[in-house]
Amino acid sequence: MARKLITLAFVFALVAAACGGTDEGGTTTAAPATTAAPATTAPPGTTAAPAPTTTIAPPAEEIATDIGVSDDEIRIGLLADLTGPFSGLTVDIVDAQLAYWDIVNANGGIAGRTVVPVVEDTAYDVVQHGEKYTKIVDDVVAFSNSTGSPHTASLLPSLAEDNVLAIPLSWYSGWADPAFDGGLTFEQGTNYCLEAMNMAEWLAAKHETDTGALPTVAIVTRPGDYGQDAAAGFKHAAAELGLEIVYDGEGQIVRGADLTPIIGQILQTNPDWVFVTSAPSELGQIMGGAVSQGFTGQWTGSGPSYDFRLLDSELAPALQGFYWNTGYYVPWGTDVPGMAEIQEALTAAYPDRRPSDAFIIGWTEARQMEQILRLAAANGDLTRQGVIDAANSIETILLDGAGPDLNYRGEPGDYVIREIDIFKPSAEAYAAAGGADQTLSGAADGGTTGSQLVEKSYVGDIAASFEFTGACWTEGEGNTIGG
Amino acid sequence: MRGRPLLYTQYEDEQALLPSMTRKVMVAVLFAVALTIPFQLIPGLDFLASSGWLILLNRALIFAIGALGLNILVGLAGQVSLGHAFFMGVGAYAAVYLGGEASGSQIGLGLPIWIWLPAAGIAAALVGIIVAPTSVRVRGLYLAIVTLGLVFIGEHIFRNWSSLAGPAELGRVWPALEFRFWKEETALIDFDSDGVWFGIELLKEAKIFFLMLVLAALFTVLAKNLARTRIGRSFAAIRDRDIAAEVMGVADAKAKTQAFAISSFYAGIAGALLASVVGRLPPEQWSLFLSVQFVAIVLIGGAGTVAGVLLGSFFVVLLPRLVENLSGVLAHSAEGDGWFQPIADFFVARSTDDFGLVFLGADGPGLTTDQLNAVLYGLLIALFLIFEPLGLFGIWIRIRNYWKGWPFTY
Amino acid sequence: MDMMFLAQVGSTSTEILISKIVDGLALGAVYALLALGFVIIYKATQVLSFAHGALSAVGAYLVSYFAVVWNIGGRVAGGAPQTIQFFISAIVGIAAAAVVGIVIERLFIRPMIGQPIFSIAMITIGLDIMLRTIGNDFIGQGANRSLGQTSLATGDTIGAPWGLTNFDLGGITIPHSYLATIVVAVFAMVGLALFFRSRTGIAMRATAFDQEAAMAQGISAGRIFALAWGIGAALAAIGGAFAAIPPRNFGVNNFTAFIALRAFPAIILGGLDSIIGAVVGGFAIGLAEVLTGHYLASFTDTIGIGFNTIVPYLLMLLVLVVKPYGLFGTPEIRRV
Repeated sequence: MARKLITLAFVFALVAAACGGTDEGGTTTAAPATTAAPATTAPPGTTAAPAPTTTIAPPAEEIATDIGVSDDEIRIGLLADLTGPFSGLTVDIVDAQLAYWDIVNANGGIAGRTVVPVVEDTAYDVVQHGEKYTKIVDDVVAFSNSTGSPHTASLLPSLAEDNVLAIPLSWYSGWADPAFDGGLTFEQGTNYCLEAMNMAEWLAAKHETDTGALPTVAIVTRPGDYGQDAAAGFKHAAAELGLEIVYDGEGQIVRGADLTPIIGQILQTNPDWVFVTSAPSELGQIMGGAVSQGFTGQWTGSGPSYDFRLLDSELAPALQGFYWNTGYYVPWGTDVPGMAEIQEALTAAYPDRRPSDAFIIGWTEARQMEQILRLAAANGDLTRQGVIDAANSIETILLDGAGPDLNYRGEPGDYVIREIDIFKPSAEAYAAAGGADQTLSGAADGGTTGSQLVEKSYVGDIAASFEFTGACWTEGEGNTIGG
Repeated sequence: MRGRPLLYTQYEDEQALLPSMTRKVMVAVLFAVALTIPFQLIPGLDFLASSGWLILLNRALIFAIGALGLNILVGLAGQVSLGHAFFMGVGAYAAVYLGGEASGSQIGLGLPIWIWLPAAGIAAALVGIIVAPTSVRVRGLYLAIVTLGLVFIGEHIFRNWSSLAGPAELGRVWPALEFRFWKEETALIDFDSDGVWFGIELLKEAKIFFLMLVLAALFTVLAKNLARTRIGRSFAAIRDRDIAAEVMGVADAKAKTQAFAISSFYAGIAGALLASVVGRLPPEQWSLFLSVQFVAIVLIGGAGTVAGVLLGSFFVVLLPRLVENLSGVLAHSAEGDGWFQPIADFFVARSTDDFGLVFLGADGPGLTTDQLNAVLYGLLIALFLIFEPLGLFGIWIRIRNYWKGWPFTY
Repeated sequence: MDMMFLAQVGSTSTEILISKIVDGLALGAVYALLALGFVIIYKATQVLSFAHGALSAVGAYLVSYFAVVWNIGGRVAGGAPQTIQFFISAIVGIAAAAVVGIVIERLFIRPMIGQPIFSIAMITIGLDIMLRTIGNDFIGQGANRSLGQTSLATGDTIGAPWGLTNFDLGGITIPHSYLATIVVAVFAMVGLALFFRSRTGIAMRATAFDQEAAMAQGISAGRIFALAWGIGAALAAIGGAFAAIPPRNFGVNNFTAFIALRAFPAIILGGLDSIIGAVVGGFAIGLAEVLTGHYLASFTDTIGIGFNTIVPYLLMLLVLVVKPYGLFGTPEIRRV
């Protein structure tokens, strides 16, 4: 009897909860549960407002709105990988965005409206990404984060159907191509394809200087628009340079699958350089496996392959010895005008957190969305279409040295960013600064992630002269640039 | 025999699909109510007409089809299988090969739904027949783990067969639910976009809902009927004591093969429908987790009972949404000042320095809402089976028996 | 088996083969530890625990927590060598994992005694989901959970002292950590064998053999159940921790829990209720996985990426066709 009552009580509690939820919220609005509100973390007024980076006119008198914008709120969505393979980076990116919006709101919001970020966890899973998109799309005017290249690419038909803008957290080359994304995604930074071209040229030159010969290379990547976009660029450059690819592991890093065969191939072909496009944990496994078995070649890869937290593991000496990481923005603590602002704001918001390179990415993303929204408000049109129009007519977003300023004038080939920064992880510098125990408020100069600048704003000849017209790799056509 | 529902004077009456008038009426009413959901006719159920809820209902109906299949294997024939996701995958890929569009490196014939949907079931059934001999040889938990192996082997094949399944982690696009005679331009019936039917404006989810409702009803009748047939009875005999059944002349191998084939047919149909409704699925989707969901449906619903399995499908599919609303209510209460506030506040961390088990932001102390969903899902599965091993059907029986004897408790 | 593989790929030397065999044995040791846990729990309580993977991840996390965050070893025996310090911390972590196992048994398994085995198996699936989610929430947050900072993907390092160091025996490279895995696994197995000869061990065997008869002899079946789950969870923690050390992995992360899924073929291969079978099955599967991973790596175009991870299942199917109750399992006696 007691058992029955308990079971029934459970069922009723759930049913009651279901009804309760629908009573207040209806079904299209996200429950309060999804609204991240770390409002308590940033005391209003204490932090300086982000410097106005473009001369955008003040908001218009009359502002048209449709979905996601009310008289006092602008709701934006973030589809972020908070528990998947890139979560180490993405959590920081999302939190930097939240801090940014808190400051924007503390300074009066946009067009007198509070910006409300709605965060959903996608776990870097195509299906979950789609489900979470459906869950919040009717509630938001645009997405200021959509983590993952294949994930955002698979969202394109829905974006078109709902006519809504997204800023992908992804540096896939297709985003710059209006024919591919219909102008519905807003690209940022150097894409994987051009980045890989740069790295191929840079490592070839470095190897030639060091040893007098061209290096042999291996390439291992994830499948899909992330890994294979980078692979296309790398192979293009390798063909131009005459580099011998001794092991081609394009698309071979599959989540959850065992990576030993890849390690075995690297050991067997023994290349001078390995180029990896993966998640940080996968980079750790591959590199750790190979290095521990005596492989002494050099390593580099796409930006998101590396996470400074790998320096907390036993891999640290190997990373310091053999890995070269790249970035689309400067690493934490670099002495540029924009960094002071970021450090000040994030230290105020998260005094106990560790410094992270990913904060800068999130900050930059939020700045892009803020500029787009301000432009839309100035145009008097905060509808979804108005936001899309603003994104496609915005000319420049200044980053104060935190990264190359984003220009959107002319054709994709004109404005696409071609430069990257190259770093060397320094386990020693990282450990000396306190390693994992660093906090934003406690560390001297805001702490370090151990990335030491090797080359700023590097553009190789191949990337510089590459005629960029659209995606280097697409799901339908595969590699479109040869190599 | 009015007024004496339990008295059967004819064997045919007792063996009828719906043996009593009450049941006939109940089923008819239930079906009618379900049909009205998209039209918001019944107050209290009108919230179900939104696209968000209809998507869930559609998924529950598709899961019901799949679970009915698993129930035939587990509940009726007594063969526990963790390989249901594999057969669903086989069906889905048969569907995408026949119905999908060929593009770039991907293969597809672009045939209409009346070919690819049945073919999905048939393909899965054929694979089921190939697999069945193992179940003749291997029994009980061993069989469960063998079928678990099937899921992993299948996942490996799907993942590497990129011309059929698309790249790993990305997958490919499935044919939409559109009815065509052949490959003509405009579809005869289009379930996949909002539109007007008989002068009524309908969401595409509502159209799909009608289709799924009809299909689920059809497969429910077939599953219910199966238990009354010669084949169904041979399954039950095998389940209860296979050696005894053999002694009585039931061919063990044949019955098990039939059970696998029929169950896989259901799985194949469900897999094809699921993939088509979602639109794009990566090959990793046909994983152990999906199989576990189906076993959970059958065990939570009540193994061997058709009504229980239907209940179980809705329970398992809707549970995350219910839990999510529960946490929404908690958060709401924690912010407010009602009597419930202190209790809710104990569970909810409202800011990073507040105590609580759940943090309702992106990431903070304690579990996130998604994590809370997963924990409660696991906990409910466990608690259900501890407190009610017969499942939802068992609860129903108890309630019914209670009222039968009311006001006497014995 | 030895020279055939080499001839097949026309590859380098016996030295690689020896390194790979050690690698396979180390992986096999992890599988064997996990499989042993499964079998002990199964024998004592007739429960096939699907929560074993989650238990191993939680156990590995606890080891990491006590070794890295708390550094118990360093506090208790600051002057002792690194390895000793690590083992002290690890034992505390493993003991904590055993407590988790005992609590689970008391709360979720004990009420289910006598219920159909698949209902109990389903409960362990529910437990697996819960434990894995809660574990993942802890993983990657370091000392101060309130910071809400996760690096689930990169994970928490276990704090083992071996790092990426190797024995270099003229061409044969053997990571110290592999050797440590094998040695610890062998010690655990010997310890287990000795335990089964002790009074409590005999009581456990008796309970596994015939519960009612054992109870009639004054053995508390409940205590035996708790003990079995405690030992199972401890073994899972050891297995999980060694699965998460370099060079195979760089810490416990959200994939650690799934390693135990590959121990399933090991227990089936050996026979669900056979201790010896679990050990043999574990090593066989580990060897098969590593050797196929290495020697078939150049055939990925034909056999696909990650083929070596399904080799355990293929091997299992092959054995079951010949012996339906595994190599060492007890055939079920079937009566009408």
